[in-house]
Amino acid sequence: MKIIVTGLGARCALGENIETLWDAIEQGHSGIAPIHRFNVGTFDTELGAMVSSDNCCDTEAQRLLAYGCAAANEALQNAKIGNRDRVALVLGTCNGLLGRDLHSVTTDLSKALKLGEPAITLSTACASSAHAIGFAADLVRRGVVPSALAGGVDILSAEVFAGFHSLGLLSKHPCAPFSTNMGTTLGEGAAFMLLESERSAKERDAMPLAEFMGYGFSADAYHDTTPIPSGLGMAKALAVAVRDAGLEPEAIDYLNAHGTGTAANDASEWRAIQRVFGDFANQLPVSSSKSFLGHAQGAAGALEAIVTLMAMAHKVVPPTINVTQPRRNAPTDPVARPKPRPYMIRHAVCTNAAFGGVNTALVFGQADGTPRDERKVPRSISLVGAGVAQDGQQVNQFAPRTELRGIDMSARLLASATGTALADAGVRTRTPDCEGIGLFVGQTRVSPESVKAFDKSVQMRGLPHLSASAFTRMVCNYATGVCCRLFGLKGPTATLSTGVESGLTALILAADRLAWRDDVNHLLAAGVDEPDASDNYKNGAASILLKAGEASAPMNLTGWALATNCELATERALAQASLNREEVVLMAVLGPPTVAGLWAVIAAMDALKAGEQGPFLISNRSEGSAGAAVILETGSKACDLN
Amino acid sequence: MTEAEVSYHAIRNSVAFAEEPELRCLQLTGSQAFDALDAVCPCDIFLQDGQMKHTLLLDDTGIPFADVYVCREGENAYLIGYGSGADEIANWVTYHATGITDFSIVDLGESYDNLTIDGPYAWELCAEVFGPDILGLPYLGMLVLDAMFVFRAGRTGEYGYHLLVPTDQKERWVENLLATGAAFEMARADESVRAQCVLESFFFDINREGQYHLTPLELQLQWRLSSQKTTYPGAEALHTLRHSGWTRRLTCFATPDPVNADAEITCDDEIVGHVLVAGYSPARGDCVGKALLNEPYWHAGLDAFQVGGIPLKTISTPAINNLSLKVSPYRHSFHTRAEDLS
Amino acid sequence: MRPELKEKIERRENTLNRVIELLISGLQLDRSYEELDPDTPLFGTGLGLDSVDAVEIVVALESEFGISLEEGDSMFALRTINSLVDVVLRQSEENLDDGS
Repeated sequence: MKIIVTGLGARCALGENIETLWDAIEQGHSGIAPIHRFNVGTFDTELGAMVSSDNCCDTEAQRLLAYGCAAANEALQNAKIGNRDRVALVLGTCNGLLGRDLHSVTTDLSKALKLGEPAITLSTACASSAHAIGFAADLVRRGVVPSALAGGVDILSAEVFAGFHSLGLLSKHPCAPFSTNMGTTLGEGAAFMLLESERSAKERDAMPLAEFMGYGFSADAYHDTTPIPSGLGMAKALAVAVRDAGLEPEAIDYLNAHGTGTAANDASEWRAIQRVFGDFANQLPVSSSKSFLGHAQGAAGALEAIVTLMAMAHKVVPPTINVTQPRRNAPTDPVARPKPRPYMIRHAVCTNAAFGGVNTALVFGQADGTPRDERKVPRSISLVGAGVAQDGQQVNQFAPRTELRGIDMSARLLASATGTALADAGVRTRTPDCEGIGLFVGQTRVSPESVKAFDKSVQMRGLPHLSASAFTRMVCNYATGVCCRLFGLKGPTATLSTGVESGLTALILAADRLAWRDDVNHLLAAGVDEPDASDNYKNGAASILLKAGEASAPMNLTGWALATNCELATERALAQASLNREEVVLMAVLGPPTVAGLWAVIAAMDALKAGEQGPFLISNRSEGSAGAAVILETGSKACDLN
Repeated sequence: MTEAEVSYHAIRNSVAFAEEPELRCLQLTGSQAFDALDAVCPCDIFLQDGQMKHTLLLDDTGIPFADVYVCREGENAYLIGYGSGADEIANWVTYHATGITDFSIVDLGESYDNLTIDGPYAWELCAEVFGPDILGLPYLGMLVLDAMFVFRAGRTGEYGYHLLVPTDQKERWVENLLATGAAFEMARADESVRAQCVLESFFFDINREGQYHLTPLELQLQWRLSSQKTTYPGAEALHTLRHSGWTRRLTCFATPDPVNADAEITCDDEIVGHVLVAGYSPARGDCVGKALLNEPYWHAGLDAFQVGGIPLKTISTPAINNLSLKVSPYRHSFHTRAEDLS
Repeated sequence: MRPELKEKIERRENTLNRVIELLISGLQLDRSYEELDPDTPLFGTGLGLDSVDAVEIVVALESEFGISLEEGDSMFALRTINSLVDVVLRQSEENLDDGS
């Protein structure tokens, strides 16, 4: 099935909408300027790419919602979509609220827009919105929803500015990727695109702007904040994305790079591009829109994808501006010119990378491309290992204390559960066995322990001297990144911050991904919940290793579904497993909210192992805006989606 | 300049090349390769793919007999370093890896030759000769490049690489290095000059202070030991010494004039230690060395000592500031060094 | 031992102790005081420190000892525990000189 982009919307430093954005790029006008919204007098630089906003917003939550609404409404109007009942929202965000209550951004936005399908939040630091686009495309491709609004929103706060400053990543000059001036400039904004099945677009006679062709995700398993210098992680995401799009590398006409401007990122990214494209890399135009937009954090991926799509539509390649002198070991053709270069792009790739060692690559093409062969029958999904953690102590069996220095409770819990699951399945960690294993994690917020350490450092030492190491833990995917590093997991990762359903959502998206895509055979689905002072429950984590296409597995997932409520999700999961409600045993869902669903799945696994018959149904218990349900069965019954 | 001066200048300012036939490299394969290393090494064997870790091999009395790195690449483990024969190390590992059977050890020295490249611009020359992957190799990283093994490590305090090339390709690579290296003012590194650079950097030298029967505690090498592990050869001896305390320590010093190894060091006529290693430091313009000093004279920053009439002061390490600290592969090039570092 | 030498050794030991404590607490090092030899290299070692820790050390030196390292100095000051001790002692001697 073709996934069509039918609407775009953006609110960023380049103005109110996608027209002002594109005008600025055509004119070569950067959105980078001195920051006025908060005091930057005590820092080495005063530059940012801020949304020129009125004083509409008292709180950061209001500001996020205002930017998000502006961009999302524009995308919906641009797509001329009338009925919003069948539109899902997949949103990426990270730094806006410093990792607190991220999902409220998504639910508030979904409500404000009156969208009728599930709302999902991705929080993978600066790759958040790129992840969101990939997951949204999967929901549409599988027919879960006919259309999805995908993108992200983030705002630049004084804390985030100070954090990047403390790490020495900010440039005194406007961000000049691939140039001898090193460092980045932070930005903010919101960007969304409407992704739609070809059928839905045709039915409502929508104008196709482009095709979403494929994506690749990967983990570096190297360092919390520094990309792996060899570029191997990004190279993997790129190669997977190009293959998913059914293309050869030489068919790519343009690459919109993450290109933050920092020494470490740009060198690693160029090495990755060289690995995938070989000599062809020297002919490939590679530019970075961060020279215009700054680094818009969680919104960067979606904003840059929109620049890429606008460039395709206008038959040009967007430039990298601010380049003074080309850097060593940087793209051969960074399109270093003040204005776009006329060029017909048929296929383009957008790359993003983030703290936690996350890499993403998205492939877009002209809307008139030929359809590709796709898998018709899903692979069966078996459960081959599980781990539970309540105090985070098991991690000490898997790594010496030196390797665990400074990691927070959420990371300990997640690593304890994940290490146990891998050991349960007999996987040798940090070996080539783990190269292809991915990790999808449900985690609703940054570790309260790290938030406390961060806040304390700001309080005691002031913003300019905040704790750099605490800042690096202030992204929701920190624990995910730690697990990848400790166990050498280099497959696709994602951190889902979708409220209390996050754990089950991670499991469902992992199962779906494995069933329908061949690039990965093992995925870990996990969840972690570390309460703060106001919560009346205890620490918890769970991790389950899923394997695709196992002929004779003792336990299988035979049904799974996400929907707007648990009734509907249960109905769909039962239908997928060809079961009636009377035939299944309902498992009790108990424990910390984010992991309770996964604990119930593990309890069902234990029951099946102990000889109980099942099949078991696990559905989330919340009354909230989303529902999730899965069915576990014994034996080798393959799942049947008919 | 004398040949030694040319050699020193190359290590400290451009690139130098040495064959170092004394560098051992063992490859451990099999499902228990890392278990075997874990059983014999005093450090934590927790290695990411392509990671190296600096450690020691200790005899039962806790005295190092080899100065080694442990490494992981894919499923295989590697042990590279100095101080003992490859067969001796292999036999010793096999003997001490009690109950661990599924591993085998290959001496890569039988089919590979080592080329060691050191200097602030070693990365640039290596990238030109061996390919751009060298640039993405972090300190203490290893990779397999076509038919060769590349280890980024060195003891001179500058960028350093060990390249293990198949013996039948060695001549070709050396020719290549010499041809490309000409533009980098590359020189062959004389062995005694390399030892002098090791001394300036206060890197452990198994052939010099390593011959005085000193433990890692006295050698200031506790960072190469795990703080958790309790079962490896020598662990018991170190545990006993930790418990009883140790009263002498290897300390770096400087003197205006040359002093001899084994000379006594005095403080107000009291003998407080003796010189183990000493030599001229061209970068500093005086002599530096390593002394074994008694507590409490074992601190850096004291100028109260004498060696036979020559004043001696203890200093912090490393004894020199390396140019490599200022040179970045992202920003610089040997060919533009004058402008880069001005 | 001459009193001035004794005093010098004591000053060195006190500063060394404070620097090591600062490293252990500030960087959450899982090492005991006795395990941290004065000439231990800070980076690329069994301590597992990285560039983020380097930032923490610079900030801690400032808040604990009132030392502000210039960008060019820090790479040479941050080599071993002893090189940090040197910087702290040099600074406090300069402060003494200024005061007299």
